[in-house]
Amino acid sequence: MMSVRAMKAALKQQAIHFFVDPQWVIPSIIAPFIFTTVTLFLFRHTGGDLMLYAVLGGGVLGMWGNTIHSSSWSIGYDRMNGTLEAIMVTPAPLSSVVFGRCLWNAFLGLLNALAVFLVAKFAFGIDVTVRDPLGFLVALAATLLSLAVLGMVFGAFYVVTRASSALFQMLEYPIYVLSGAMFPLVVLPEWSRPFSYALPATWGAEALKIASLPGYDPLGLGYMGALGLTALTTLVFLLVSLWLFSFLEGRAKVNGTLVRY
Amino acid sequence: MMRNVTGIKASALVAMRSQFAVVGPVLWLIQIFSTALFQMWFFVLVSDFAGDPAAGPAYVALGNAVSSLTYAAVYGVTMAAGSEKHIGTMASILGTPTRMYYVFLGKGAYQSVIGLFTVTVSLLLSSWLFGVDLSGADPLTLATVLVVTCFAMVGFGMVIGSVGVYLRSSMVLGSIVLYLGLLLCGVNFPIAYLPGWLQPASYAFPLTYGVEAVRRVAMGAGLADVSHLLIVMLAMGAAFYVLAYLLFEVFERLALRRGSLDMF
Repeated sequence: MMSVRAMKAALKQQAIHFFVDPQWVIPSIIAPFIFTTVTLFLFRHTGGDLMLYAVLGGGVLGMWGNTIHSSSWSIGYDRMNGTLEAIMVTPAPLSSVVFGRCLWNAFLGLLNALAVFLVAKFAFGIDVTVRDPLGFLVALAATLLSLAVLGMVFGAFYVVTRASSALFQMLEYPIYVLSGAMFPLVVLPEWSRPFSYALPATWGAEALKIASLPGYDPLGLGYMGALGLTALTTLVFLLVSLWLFSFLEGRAKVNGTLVRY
Repeated sequence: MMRNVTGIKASALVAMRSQFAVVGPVLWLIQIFSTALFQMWFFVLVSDFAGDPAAGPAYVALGNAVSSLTYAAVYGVTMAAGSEKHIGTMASILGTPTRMYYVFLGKGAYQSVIGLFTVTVSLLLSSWLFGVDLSGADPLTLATVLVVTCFAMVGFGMVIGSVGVYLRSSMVLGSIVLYLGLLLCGVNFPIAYLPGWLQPASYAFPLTYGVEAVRRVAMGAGLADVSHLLIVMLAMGAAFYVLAYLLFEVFERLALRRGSLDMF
């Protein structure tokens, strides 16, 4: 179902693309960077843990922004360059190729977290010490993985449509809102909370905050609870994405729209 | 002169047709609505949680509604040159009798229409969903402010977009300008919050004056009360269009000399 070799190759290829022309990371991370900086300005009078809260949320937004942006463009470019068909006739499953790319893109989103960290530290003078560094790193890895899987779910749709740029713009901000990365989930209206609970990014952000902020656990989940929910929702999304890839790949082949640009 | 006017019209028509070539009208409308809605919602929730009385949810929603103009009026115009380069049609444009500046002016004219539509939708959403009170606003004054803001912002976009004739792509520059307004132009918090050294940069963006003018109109100000802001935007806009004309000439020549017109 998934090919580790294809994932590694796709990750490597995506990394090479980045190093050939690193400027392309700017359009992917500028939105989450500005959103986080604006949030820091709005939180500036609150001080303390709330500022760190925004920094952590900014990291999640950055990973998501880069995943959705770069992943949509990477399939879009394959379509434009006429290489999408060539990828699909290789023995490697397309889902593995896309997952490898998404993983690199989510990882690169950490550049945004670094930029936010520097702004927070030097422009706002925020103490960015985390309570449990090991727990933080594990939660960060889990969040990165969960966002890559989420990117893969949406990536499946780019196989059947030329309108990947429009889709990416529609999907970027809803996750910013629904993940509750920048504010507690209780701030969201009740009707929207089930959508938040279904997202792995929500639980990843929660685990990151529990590992970093002393006394933070508004939902009473504990660190392991938040991490477990991240893993569970990630697994569900992974299964959904594999099914979607299989279904939509078949549909694109029947429609003969793979090289339509 | 007549040739330039025809060029502008033709370019605007091509921009309109190509808009729906890939993304259909329904998907495009959903994109406009959802982007405006979720961006506003995000900052409204952040401001609600932050509890800063000087930058409350209604303040933030109104600022974001006005800044939605940036997407078409600045980013759309900035991206025009980059997109032509991307699809390999830049040399064909140069081969027409119309100067490149007028071709992109036509695209800017089309983006103005889209921008004004977007900002209208955003203002309605901000009023319906986020408690922005527009009951005191005179519709004619509000429309005038938005048209003048759009005029200045398209000029600003033309200046930035001209660089795309020479550079490999204008996307990077366009992306930066698209979001910088949220930070610098009094959209989400008063400009006074910015560090002193950064505040002068705010006044280089026409959006700053546009947001301020709309805030005043929403509070009941008439055309005379915001006339100084309109004059500044008109002057800035005129200066931007002249500068863009000169820059298109310069970058066109440089790109021809360097052979980078189709480089992407």
